[in-house]
Amino acid sequence: MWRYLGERDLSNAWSAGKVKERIVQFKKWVMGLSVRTITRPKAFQKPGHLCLHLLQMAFLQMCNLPVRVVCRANAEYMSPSGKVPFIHVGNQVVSELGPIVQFVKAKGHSLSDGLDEVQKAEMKAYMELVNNMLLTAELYLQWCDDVTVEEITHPRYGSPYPWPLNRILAYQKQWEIRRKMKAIGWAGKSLEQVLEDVDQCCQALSQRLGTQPYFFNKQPTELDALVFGHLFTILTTQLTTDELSEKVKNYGNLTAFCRRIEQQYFEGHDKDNSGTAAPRSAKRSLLR
Amino acid sequence: MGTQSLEPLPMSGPDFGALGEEAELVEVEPETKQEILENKDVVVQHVHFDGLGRTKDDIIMYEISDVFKAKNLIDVMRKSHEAREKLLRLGIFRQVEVLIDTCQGDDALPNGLDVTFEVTELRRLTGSYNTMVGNNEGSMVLGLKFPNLFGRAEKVTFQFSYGTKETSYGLSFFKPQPGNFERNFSVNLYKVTGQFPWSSLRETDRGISTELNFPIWKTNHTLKWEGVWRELGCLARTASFSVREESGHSLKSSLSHAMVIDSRNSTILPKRGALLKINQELAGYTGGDMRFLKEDFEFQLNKQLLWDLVFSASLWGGMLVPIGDKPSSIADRFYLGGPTSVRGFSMYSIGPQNEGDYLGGDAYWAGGLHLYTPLPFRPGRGGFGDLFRTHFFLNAGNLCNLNYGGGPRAHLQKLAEYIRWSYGAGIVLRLGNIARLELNYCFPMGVQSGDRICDGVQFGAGIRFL
Repeated sequence: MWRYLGERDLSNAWSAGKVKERIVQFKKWVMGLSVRTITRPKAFQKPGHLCLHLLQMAFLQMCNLPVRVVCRANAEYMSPSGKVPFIHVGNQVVSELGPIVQFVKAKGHSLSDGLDEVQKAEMKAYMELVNNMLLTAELYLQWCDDVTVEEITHPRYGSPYPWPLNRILAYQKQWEIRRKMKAIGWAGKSLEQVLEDVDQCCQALSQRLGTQPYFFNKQPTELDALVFGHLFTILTTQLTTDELSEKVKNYGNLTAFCRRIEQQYFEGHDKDNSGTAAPRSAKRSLLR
Repeated sequence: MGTQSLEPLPMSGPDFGALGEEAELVEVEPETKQEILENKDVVVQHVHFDGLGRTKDDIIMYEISDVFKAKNLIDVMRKSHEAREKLLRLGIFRQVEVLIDTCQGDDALPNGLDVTFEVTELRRLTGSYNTMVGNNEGSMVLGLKFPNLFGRAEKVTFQFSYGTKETSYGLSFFKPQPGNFERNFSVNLYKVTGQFPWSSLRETDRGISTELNFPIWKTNHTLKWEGVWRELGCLARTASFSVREESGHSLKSSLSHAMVIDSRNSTILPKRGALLKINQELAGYTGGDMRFLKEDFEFQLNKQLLWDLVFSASLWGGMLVPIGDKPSSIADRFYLGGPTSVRGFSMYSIGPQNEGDYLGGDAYWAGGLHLYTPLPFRPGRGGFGDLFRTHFFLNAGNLCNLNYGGGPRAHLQKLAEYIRWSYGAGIVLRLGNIARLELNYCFPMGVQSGDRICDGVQFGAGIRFL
């Protein structure tokens, strides 16, 4: 699988070229599937993109599938549905977690085979909760909070493009997200209310997780990948305020969960990968 | 001497013939004493203008200054006619009539003449509806025009065009130099969307361009700066990955120069003359993220052989060199094939492709040899039949990419191998002075794997044919 990532250094982002390959070798690839995941370079990513990328990575790694990551500034437009990241397997292009899970299932890999019907329904419910709450909260914070928008989001989003295109595209995206927020009724919410919602969501997740290593049984499922992706991003992305990550840090078992998954699925592979030319500065870790 | 009045003659295209031959005297009053008018010396004393409204004086003065230099009557008539043509060319008058009369008044000389131009200015706002034919596409064009905006032949046009392949709208401002209409300057703002099914590509361009035209001796030059925000997308979900990779936004800011020398007697189906067009474009040094140097040329030579046979040879070529390490974009590359290019192949369906989507190439050449004859047995001679021609052709061309790491010698070699060519015959119909329709029977040869052919009957409509 190919995935598109990028460099962290914003100031060099423009001149350093936008395509960076980072071959993440995995243990052994099971099926002869050569899959590419494509996302926007990390430096140009808003946290929303990064989290989706991570959760996808987590999912694919949990399935033991080899992934190759490629960065493109135009990943958003390459995707058939407009969402990053997406995977490119042979002749097919699949975007968004749901379809990717289905696709991988059709090829014979699934993480939720061991669950019964009740558990599957519960898993779907929690996934919906995370999507509705955490994802929307992340979008709100990036695009509707004026300070963050001005200082972080606009420069990041527009950095692959020359002036005046960087401003035009950033504003275009902002209007689009704000329209969406208005449609789902979040436009009227204040930052405190959004943080409250995040807190409630984390509480629900924390309660479900309890002291178990994963949400269901001892094996990871799609829900684990989803939660990991979102929480890890919230914990490691630098924004203007730390309030969001503080909310998550309040729940010890969630941070421990993230650390555990990072260690198991990402650390080990980066060690294998120490010979690559890609800068290590692009890697973030909870373990610092 | 009676009053001579020149009937307004129709606007002539290049087909019309030299001016002097066509100017006709409409009526001559019989003189009791026969005087040979050509030899009579005259002096133009006054030139009057009737009907000027918002048009400024200085721009008119330039156009009619020659009339004062006329020495005899025929000269006066000829120069007045030329001045009339020049005034009409400005695009600010609907009608211009010329009246030549003897001078009356206190300061009148015995051989003095007065020339009066009776003009009707165009309204401040005009609308138009046209249909347009491009290369294998047609469109409906609605226009709004503000002619002669500030009195010196400036023009603001707004145009909306809806066609089979593209939709576009644009606003443009045009200003000629007073006294030198061929030197002009224009600024355009436009948004064009196009669909290219041969590449499964959809393109939306929003841009601004400024252009300066000027003639130097027999050539016409155009200097242009253009800034375009280009958005590429896939036309269908089944688009190939190479086209998907090109999707997204980019900004192109380029300077270009074009030179045209045209000595043909007509743009469509010329009988004699040659055309040479050379165009170069440098993108990237004035902003934007596309960086390349693009050159292309077009050459055509026509010669009339015995009877009504016309032999025509044409050669096109071009090269796109990306500067820096970014590869060229699919929207800048050259395409080959189709009823207006190498006949016998489907539209733009020659060369590098991926899963059926044609990606274009960085370098190409194409050549054609044609023989045009009138229709056999010449039906409708002198009328409708003159618009048709039969034509026998031989076309050849090649298209390739330059990014495989070879030098110029390797490029030439690559362009010389695997040449696609075709031959055939057909009928050509001329549409006014702008477009032509062709119906040909083609035999494509040298077909490489991946090319799509259209052997047998092929129909084409357009303005620029190989």
